[in-house]
Amino acid sequence: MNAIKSLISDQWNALATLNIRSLLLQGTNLGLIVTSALIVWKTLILFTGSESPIVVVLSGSMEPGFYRGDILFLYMSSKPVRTGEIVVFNLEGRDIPIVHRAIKVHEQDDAGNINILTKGDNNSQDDRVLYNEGQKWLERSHIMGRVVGCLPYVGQVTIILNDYPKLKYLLIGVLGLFVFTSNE
Amino acid sequence: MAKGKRSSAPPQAVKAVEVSREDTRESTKVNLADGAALKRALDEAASKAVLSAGYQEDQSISNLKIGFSLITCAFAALAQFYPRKYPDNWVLLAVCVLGYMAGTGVLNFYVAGREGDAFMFTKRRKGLGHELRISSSMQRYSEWYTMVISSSHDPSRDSVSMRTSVTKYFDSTGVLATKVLEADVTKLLNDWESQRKRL
Repeated sequence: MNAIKSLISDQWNALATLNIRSLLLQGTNLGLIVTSALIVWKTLILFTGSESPIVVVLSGSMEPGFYRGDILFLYMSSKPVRTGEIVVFNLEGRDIPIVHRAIKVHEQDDAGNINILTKGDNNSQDDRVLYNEGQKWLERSHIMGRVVGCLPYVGQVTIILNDYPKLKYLLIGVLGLFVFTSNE
Repeated sequence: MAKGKRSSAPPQAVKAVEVSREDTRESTKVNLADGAALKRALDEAASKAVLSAGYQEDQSISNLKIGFSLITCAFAALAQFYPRKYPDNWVLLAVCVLGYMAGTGVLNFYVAGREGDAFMFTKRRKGLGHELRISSSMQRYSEWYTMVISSSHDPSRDSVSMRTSVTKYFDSTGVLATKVLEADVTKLLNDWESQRKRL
């Protein structure tokens, strides 16, 4: 405990004697580290064509294919959605996307406008009970992407962090401490 | 004879007390096990010594670094906080990503390439030829600190360097003996200046 206290006080003393220029240099360094992660995410968005290329499965509606806590990789191409494909879609007014299978597809016209009906593999009814009032079909604009890959179990971390937000702050605090104390 | 001896003894004692008081006022204490902190402390004290020898610091590269870092971070912030959502904003996203990559490219290759391991650049001093580039290196787990003074335009051409063990500058509790370091840095600066005069 004393060692930690003296470590923190040493770092504080070192920081307190810094001038504006050093603070700016260290601050922009930290900013670059944080923004590099952000830019990697944005590049993924651009490459996959999906607004959220990596999602975590939150419910058991696609068992036994996907379990709660699996990570899914999405890709959106301009090819039309076909039945049997597993898609992740957003409904208006809801901020959590849903991952289910397309079971019916109707093409409206040659322009590629299609109507899609989805259903979770583990559900007994199709998703019309989930859609908004009066909505019977999904359109292409609702689709966030097709599932092209899966990483089992790893998403549990995200679920735990979301259920216990204090853990999230603790994690960020520890990471910040590491960045500040390992200044080489 | 006796009179001479008596008059020489008190001034010595007074000087010793003055030196130690100054040292404790500006003493920096470093963890001796942390090599990076030792090097940082030596670099900072050496910078102060160069400034007090009459040189002015040239902060253009440091300003470049800060400026480009801020621009690069601004690209990322713009990409994150722009009010339109994907896929409407894909042009802006592409521009921001490319801008960010260009910014980091400039930072890593150009700015860091110009800076290298130097920790200080100075402007031209009155009457003398060149801007200085002061760099230092200290290997991991090694006690040897090498400081090199060279011309900032052509660092490979002439340079003077000194290689000392850090044990010369730090005592066993980790306190830096600034006066000792300042003396060494001043001597190195004089070596450089006399070398320039010869050419």
